[in-house]
Amino acid sequence: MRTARRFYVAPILMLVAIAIGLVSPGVAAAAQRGIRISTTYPSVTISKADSITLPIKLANQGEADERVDISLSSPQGWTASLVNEEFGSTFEVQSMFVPIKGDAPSLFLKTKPPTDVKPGSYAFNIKAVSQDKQVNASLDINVAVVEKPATVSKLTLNTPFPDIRGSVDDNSFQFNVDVTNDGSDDRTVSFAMESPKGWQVSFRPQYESTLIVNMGMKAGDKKTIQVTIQAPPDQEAKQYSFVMRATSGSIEAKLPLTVTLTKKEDVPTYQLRLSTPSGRLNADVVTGKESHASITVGNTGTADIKNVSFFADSPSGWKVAFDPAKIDKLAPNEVRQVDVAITSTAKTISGDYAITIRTSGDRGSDSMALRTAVGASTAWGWIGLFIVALVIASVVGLFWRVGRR
Amino acid sequence: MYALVTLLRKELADHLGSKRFVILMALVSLSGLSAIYVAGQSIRQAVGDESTAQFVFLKLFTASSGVLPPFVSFIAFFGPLIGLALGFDAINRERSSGTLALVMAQPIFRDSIVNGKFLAGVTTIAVMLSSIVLIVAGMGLWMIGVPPSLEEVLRIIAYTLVTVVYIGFWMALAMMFSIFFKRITTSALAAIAVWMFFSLFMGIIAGLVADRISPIDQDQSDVSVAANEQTASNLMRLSPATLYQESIATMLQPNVRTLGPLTLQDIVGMVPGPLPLAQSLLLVWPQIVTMIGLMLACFAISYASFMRQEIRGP
Repeated sequence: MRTARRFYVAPILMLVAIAIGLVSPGVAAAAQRGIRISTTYPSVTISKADSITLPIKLANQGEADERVDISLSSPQGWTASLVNEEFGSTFEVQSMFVPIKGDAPSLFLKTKPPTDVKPGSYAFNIKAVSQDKQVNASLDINVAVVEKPATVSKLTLNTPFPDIRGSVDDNSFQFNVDVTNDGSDDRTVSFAMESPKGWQVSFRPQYESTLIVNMGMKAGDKKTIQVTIQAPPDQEAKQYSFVMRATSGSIEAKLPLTVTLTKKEDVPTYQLRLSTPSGRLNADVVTGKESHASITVGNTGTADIKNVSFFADSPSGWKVAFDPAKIDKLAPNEVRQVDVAITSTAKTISGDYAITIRTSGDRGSDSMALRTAVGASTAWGWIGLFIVALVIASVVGLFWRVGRR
Repeated sequence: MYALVTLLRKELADHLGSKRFVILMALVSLSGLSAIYVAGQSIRQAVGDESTAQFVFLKLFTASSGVLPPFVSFIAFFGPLIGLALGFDAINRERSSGTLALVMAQPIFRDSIVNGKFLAGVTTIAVMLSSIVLIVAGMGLWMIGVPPSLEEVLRIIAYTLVTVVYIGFWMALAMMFSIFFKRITTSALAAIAVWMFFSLFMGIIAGLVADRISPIDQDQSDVSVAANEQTASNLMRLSPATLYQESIATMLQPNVRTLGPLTLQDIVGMVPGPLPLAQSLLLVWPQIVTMIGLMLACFAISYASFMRQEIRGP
């Protein structure tokens, strides 16, 4: 029996020793703890009527999770609370769990001065104490209160292109005007235009079609207004001045705009036009022979066009020549006739081909497709008929020689 | 001249009244019927396929369904047989039955006989062919309801004339053999041999000879293939059958612009479209002239040799 008990004792002692050995380091290092409380804005200035919300951060610097009680001391008369605004609800916080890893939930100091607050500096203090009172941290926040700043009222009108040029034939002009509310208040801005008699003006927000008279603008807003000016018919060619006004209560902004109308000829256009004298766009060509077609080139623009030359895209091996090959100057409304010499190759297959004739001057160009019907020369047809006639003649000759027997 | 007209009338009456004519006409009518049937099946599709809807009427003659060949192929095949059938015993039957000497005893010139036979044969062919073309055209008109344009009418007339000349050539050839050979079977065999040579063996021979003259080189370059093709088709043109096929293809298909190989270079700038009739004719004018020449040459040889032959009584 005794010996048997001794055998039991030894392993139990060993197990106890191992257990103590495993547990003892944990007991020895339990002292490492620490929390920190901070805010991004420890000192702020507000005006009398404002309320503020400041973010507060709690961090665990120790090696174990902490439950922290939070207390706030605020100046006399101020409403102040520590809240969490997460998950769509707001609730006051007295105590927080701060894990060693990961972020602690966010915390906000929400405060509003009393209505009769005096300008000056006010101190807030937030204390964080662990539940066993072993660790603590504290944060001082300074809030300075000033008189409410004077409101700024300013409107600005601006446009990148205040001068527009157009022909007397044009009747609609557009300005894009940027309206900026530089003031500190939200405003309703109305628009008006001083314009010469008969001109019609409309305002609309950019990219929209609704016409507007006024527009609500928040402080600091910048919006683009599309201003359309419609000229009455038959205007003289001169400069027309407009003044656009944006008003809101007592404040006003002005922007001068001008529209310059010019006579039609003052805006030169360059346009060449190819055609044929008869309007027919086809030509007949005999295989391997040169044949001629006439084309006309006209200047339908309003200014001279110089160095008008011609080119042709034709089937390979064809020759297309122009006479004259180049026209030095073509006045407006002038039409010149040009001879086109088309030579197909001797082996071109009969049928229709498309030739593209192009012309271009120093400005302006045009092109035209000329449908070319290539036909074999009828010479071979006559030769064939001649051969047939020869054969018939020889048969008749045969009749003469050996016939009538 | 009076004798010629009399003989022509007699010969024509013989032709039109013969059982042979009935058989041939039945054959041709069958091909006409099949043409109508084929056209009825496939003309809408054939017209829908191509942009040239303006030549609907010509499609009556050229449209084919998967099973039956078009009208023109029937005629191209049967035409020579008709010509041979009409001509192979023209002279030697009269000779062997002794009637030739009887006719010669009449107060007529000898050449009236051969002229009359030739003209009667050509007339028979023309009657046979134009009647079947008219039947096909008429039934086609009733079926598709689109009247032919002037251009189409002219093309169909040209087709008929060319076909008469082609069949006339085979008839003249058979007549020539019937003068050369005394026995009917010999002349018939000779004529059929010539026909078979040109319609069956010419293609094979042309291919073999072309491979000799301008062989396709090892890497099958385009130039050598085109040259080989050109040589083969030139050799094929020695055959009247090829000449005829090229002619009618161009006559009845206005879109045919060339008969030779077409290179990419030729196509640049080409606008697809039909050729006018005159240009189509010019394209195959050499073929047509050659066929007329061949027909007249066969006739001339027959004429000359008949005039020099000795004719004895039975």
